[in-house]
Amino acid sequence: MDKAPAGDFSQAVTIKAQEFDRLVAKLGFETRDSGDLLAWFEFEGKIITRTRRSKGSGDLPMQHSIRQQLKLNQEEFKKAIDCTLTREAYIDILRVKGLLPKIPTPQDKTSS
Amino acid sequence: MAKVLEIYQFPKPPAVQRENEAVAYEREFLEVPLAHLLPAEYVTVSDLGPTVPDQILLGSLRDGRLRVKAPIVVKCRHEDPHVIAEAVEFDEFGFGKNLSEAVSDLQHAVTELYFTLEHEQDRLGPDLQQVWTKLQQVIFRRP
Repeated sequence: MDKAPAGDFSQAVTIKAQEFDRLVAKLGFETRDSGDLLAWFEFEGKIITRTRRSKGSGDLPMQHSIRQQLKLNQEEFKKAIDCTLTREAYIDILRVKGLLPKIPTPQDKTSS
Repeated sequence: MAKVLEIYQFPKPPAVQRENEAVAYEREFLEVPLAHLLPAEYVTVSDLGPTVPDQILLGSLRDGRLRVKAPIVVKCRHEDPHVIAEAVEFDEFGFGKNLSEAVSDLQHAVTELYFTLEHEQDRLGPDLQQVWTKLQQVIFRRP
């Protein structure tokens, strides 16, 4: 598959290694070097999502698989690559998707 | 009275003649035009690229510590210039220049994932907890 023209991120199938590294650093992922670069997102002591990239500086295929590992849709993933998605926003996304416990509201407290 | 055994041995054909025949045959074969035997669209394509099956069943992770109890379904495809091997049920994938490299990369990734989740199994979020459960269903750690 050819790379999509610039600006048409929806059809891109690769992600650059630098973009991956920036993304995990921006969102505060923990990383470990084990031949591949492993990255995982921790929240309140729990490992919520994980991803990895092979060593090397070239383009990484399977951007949609990396996106799925991070539990992001295309728009959210684009923001993450562009470094416009903050860690707090990522946490909110994971909360909405049920991967993090919801913040109890005052109504929840009074009803219990 | 001594018996006389007569042994008949057929003469071997001359080696030089046999080699010349083989070479001559090969030369004639190579001169036969094959293009007309192929579909026209294939004749003009210089590189057909590697062919990969849509799906394979992975029965080994190539790590002596782990044994695959039930085959792992792996979806394969060619995304030029890479070949991709994806274990969809674990959200894990491998890639390489050919299917062999892609599968090897996937095996390494799944092995790494297994040991990571095993080590951290007490602090996994809900999604990774499901992945860990699925891994344990198909992979057995040798004692």
